[in-house]
Amino acid sequence: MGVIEELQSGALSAEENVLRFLEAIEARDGEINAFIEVNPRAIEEARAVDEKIKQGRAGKLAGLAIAVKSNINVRGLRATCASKTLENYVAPYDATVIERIRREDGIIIGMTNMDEFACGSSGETSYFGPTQNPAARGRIPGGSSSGSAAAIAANFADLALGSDTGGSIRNPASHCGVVGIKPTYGLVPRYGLIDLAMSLDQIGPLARDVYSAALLLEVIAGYNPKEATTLRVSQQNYTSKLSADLSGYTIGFAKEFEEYAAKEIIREVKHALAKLEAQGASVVEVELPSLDKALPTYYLTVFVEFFSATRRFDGRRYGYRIEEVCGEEVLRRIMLGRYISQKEYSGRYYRRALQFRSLIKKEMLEALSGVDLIAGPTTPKLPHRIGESIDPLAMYAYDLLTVPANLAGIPAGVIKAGEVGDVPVGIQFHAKPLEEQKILNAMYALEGGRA
Amino acid sequence: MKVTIGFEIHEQLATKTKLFCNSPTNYRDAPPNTNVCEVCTGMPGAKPMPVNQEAVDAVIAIALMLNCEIVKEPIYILRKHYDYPDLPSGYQRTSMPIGKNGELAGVKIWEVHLEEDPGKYDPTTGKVDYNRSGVPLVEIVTAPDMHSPEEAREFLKELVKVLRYTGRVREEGGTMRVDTNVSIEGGARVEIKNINSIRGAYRALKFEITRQKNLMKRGRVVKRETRAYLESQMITKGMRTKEEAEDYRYIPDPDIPPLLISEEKIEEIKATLPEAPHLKEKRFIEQYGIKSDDARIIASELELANAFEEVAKVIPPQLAATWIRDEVKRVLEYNGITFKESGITPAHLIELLQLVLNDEITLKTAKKVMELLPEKRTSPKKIIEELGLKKLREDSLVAKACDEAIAENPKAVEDYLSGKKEALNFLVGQVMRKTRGRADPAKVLEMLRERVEGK
Amino acid sequence: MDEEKVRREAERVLKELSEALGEINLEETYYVVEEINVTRNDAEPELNPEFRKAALKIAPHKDDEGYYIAEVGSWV
Repeated sequence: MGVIEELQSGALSAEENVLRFLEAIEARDGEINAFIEVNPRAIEEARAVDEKIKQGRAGKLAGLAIAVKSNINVRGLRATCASKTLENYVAPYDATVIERIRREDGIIIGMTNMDEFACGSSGETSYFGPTQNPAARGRIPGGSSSGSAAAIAANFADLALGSDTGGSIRNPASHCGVVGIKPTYGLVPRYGLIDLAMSLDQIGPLARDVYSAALLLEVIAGYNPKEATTLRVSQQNYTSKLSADLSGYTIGFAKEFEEYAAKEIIREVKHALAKLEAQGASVVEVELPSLDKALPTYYLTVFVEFFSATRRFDGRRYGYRIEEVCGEEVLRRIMLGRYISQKEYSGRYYRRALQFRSLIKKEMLEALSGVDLIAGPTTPKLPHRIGESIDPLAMYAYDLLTVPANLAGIPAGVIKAGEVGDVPVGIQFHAKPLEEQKILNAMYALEGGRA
Repeated sequence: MKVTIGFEIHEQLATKTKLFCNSPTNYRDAPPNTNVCEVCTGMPGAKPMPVNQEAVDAVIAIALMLNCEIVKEPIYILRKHYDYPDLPSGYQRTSMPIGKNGELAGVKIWEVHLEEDPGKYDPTTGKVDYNRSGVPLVEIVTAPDMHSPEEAREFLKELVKVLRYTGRVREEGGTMRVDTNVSIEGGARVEIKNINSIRGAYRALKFEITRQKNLMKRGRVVKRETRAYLESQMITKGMRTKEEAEDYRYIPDPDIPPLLISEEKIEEIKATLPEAPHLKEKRFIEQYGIKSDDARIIASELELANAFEEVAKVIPPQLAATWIRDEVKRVLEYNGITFKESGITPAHLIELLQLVLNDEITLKTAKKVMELLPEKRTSPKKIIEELGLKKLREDSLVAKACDEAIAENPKAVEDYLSGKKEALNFLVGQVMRKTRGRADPAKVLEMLRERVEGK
Repeated sequence: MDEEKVRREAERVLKELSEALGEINLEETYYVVEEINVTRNDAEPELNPEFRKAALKIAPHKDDEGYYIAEVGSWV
C-alpha cells in the first residue's frame, strides 16, 4: 500500500518504480523464471505517466507495474501461452482488461510464465521452462498462473493479472503466499484472453495485499459491450468499501473439506477462521455432498471446450499447428476433447458432465444461501518439488477444491492463512455471484489481523 | 426412373457489419484482408461480439416469407468444427433452426438457419482472403421435393424472387451458393457442392442425372458420395473424402448465449413483410383485371410491382401493365438492371403514358424516351424537350414530307395504284423518317392515301 | 514426445473420470450466465487500420498483395 501513496504523493516516480522492478527481474529472474518477456517500452510508458502525474490527470493505477499472464493479449508483446505454438505470436490488439489498465495509467512490465495454454497446476508444463516458487524454493509455484504469482511473491511487480479456469489464480496464490481473486463469471471481460475453457475462464488480479488486489479488480471489472457473456454490472468500487469489520458475517465451513485436504492444511485454515471469529464473524458448518463430482465434471468439460478452442491454432495465420509442437498435457487434452466430442460419445461424457455441472452449481448456491462466505482450503496438498514425477490424475487432483467456484460461476479469493514448514498455505473464500466485496473484506480482516 | 432433388441454399444477408464483429461487409470493393479484425481472422483470444440483431431479424423475415414456423425454444449458436484454410477459427458458427416446416412453390422448406460465411480460399494457389469471413448468411434447407432439373430451376427462381422481396439479402447478386442432393430411384443419394447460380444448379443436375442413368444402364452402382460442380467444364467430379463420415462435433458456442424469439418479435417483423409475389400476382389479376402473364412479370420484382400500383391509380391498369411488361422490362433487360437500380419512378411512367394518351407524343417517341430514362434519370418531359421530340402537330410540315415522299418514290406510287396496297406502308416509313418519328403514323397514312388516290 | 504414452494415459484418465462421475438426470448447464438474446445493433462498421499490418506481420506465409498463403488445395 505504501507504493500507491508514494506514487501519488510524488515521493516515488513511475519511472523509478518500474526501473527498480526491471532491475530486480534482471538480477533474480534467471532463477525464478517468472517472465517470458519484459516490456521493452516500460520505461518510456512510465515517463509518460510521470508527465500525467505532474499535470494531476493520472489514473487510479498511475505508475504501478503490472505483470500479465502470457495468455492475455497486450499489443506489441508476445502472448505465447508458454507454448511453442505461439512462440512468435506478437499480439496485434489489446485485451479489454489491458485497455482498462492503460486507461488508468498502469504500466505493463512484462508477460509472465505459465503452464502451457494454462493446462497444468504446477507451472512445469511451460515451453519456456518451469517457474520456481519464490516463497518455497525448490517447490512448484502452482499453476497455471505460475509466473504471475511468482512475480508478486518475488517482488518483480506491484500487481499481476492471471486467469482462472479451475483454480489457476488461487492455486499459485496459495502456494506462493499471495492474494489472488477469481471473479464472478462474466464480471471481468474475457475479450483478448486466450481460451482454456470458455464457459469457465475468468481473468483476475494477484497482489501482495488486499487493497491493491481490490484496486486492480475494480479497474478491470464491469460490463463489456464487445462480448456476449458479460454481466450487466456497472463500474465497481471495492477499495472505498473495504472494511475489516466482520460483525454480522456468517462463514460456512464444509466438513467435506476435511476429507479431501491434508490435515496440516486444514489446521492452518481453521487457525485463520479463528482469527476471523475474533473480528466478529461467526463460523457455521455447511454441506457440499457432491464435492467429489466436481473434478471429473470440470475436466470432461474442459477437454471439449479446449479442443474446440485450439482448432484455430492451425499454423496458417500465425504460429505453428498446435498438435505438431505442443507438450504432452496439451496434446492429451486435445486428444480427449476430440474423442469425447464425437457425436456418438458426447452424450456419455460431455453432456453428462454438463448435467453434473448443474448439480454442483445448485449445491454451491444452496450452501451459500445461508451464509455470507464459504471458507476452506485451496489445495488438497502442499506443492511438490520441481521435477518430481506426477501422474496426470494426481496433477488434476490439485484442483479438487478450486473447480467448484468455476463450475458455479461464483467468485472466490485466496490469501495466505499460514505456513506448513516453510511452505505457504492459503485460505479460500467463496461468495455468491457478484459478492466480491465480502471476500475482499474477509481477506482484509485476515491481513489486518496478521499485520 | 424417378429423380429426387433437394437443396441447401446459402445467401448473404444485407447488413453493414459482420455477424460477430464490427468489420464492414462490403468485401468485394476491398483489397485482400483489409475488412478484417481479430474476431473474423480468428486471432488468439478474440471473442465473438454479440450477435448482429439485423441478421437475426433478416432470417426471421425470410423464414416467415417461406411460410415457416418460427422456433420458440432457445436457439443455440453451434460450433461446427472442420479444418479448412478459409475457416479462421477451425469451426463455423451456425444457428440451430430459426424457422421450420415451411413451403414455397410446392417445395417443403425443412429448416432456415443463420450462419457465418467463411473467407475465400483459392485451392490452386493457396491464397486466403478473410474479407468475407463472418458475413452473415441465411441457410435454407429444402425437402427432396423436386423431380427434374427444370422443376429445380423453377423453384430456385421463385426462391430468389422471394429473397429479393424481403429486401434482407445482398443486392449485388452472385453471392448465392447452392448444395444439391440428387438421387434416382434405386441409387444412392449424391451431394453436389460448389454451385454458384441457378444456371449452374440446372447444368449440374442435368449432367449428374445423365451420369447416374448411364451408370445404372451399364449395371453399375451409384454410390453415396459428395461431388463438386466444375463450372468451367459443366461437369461434376467426385471429391476426395475421408473414409469415415465427417463428424463436426457440434457444441453450443460457450461464448454466445442462446437466442429466444418472442411472439412480439415475430409480430413486429411480420408487420414489415411485403405481400408474397404469388399472392400479389393473384391480387393484381383480380383487382386490376390485368392479364395473368402481365401480372406474373410485374410481380417478379417488388419495386416494379409497387410502381405498377402507383401508375394504375392514374393510367388505365391494362395499359400500364402492357407498358411495363413490354417496354419497361425490355429496357431493364437490355441494361441488365433491376427496376430499383434503373432509377425510374412511377411519376416518370405516369407522365410518359399521359403524354401518349393525350396524343402529345407518338408511341415511337415514348419508346425512345423509355430507353433514355435509366441513363438520363430525369422526367420524360425534360428528355423530350432536350431532344426536340415533341409530336409534330403542324400538318403543313407533315404535308410537305408527304409531297416529298411521293415525288421521290414514283415507283411506290405506281405499285399502289396498280393494286399493291402495301406499297403505301413504304411511303409512310419514308415520311416518318423525314419527320424523325414525330408524326402520327395513322395520320400520315390518311394524308398519303388522299394525295396518291387524288392524283 | 511419446505419443503412445500420452494416448495410454488419456485412456486411463477418461476411464477414471467417467467412472467417478456416474449417472445423473438433470438439465445440462451450458452457460453459467443465464442471459438470452445478447445482440448488438448493426451500426456503422469500424476498422482499425493498424490491425492488418500487425496481423500480416506475424503470418508465416503471405504474399505482396496481402493474401495469406495456405497449402494448395486437395478438395477435388
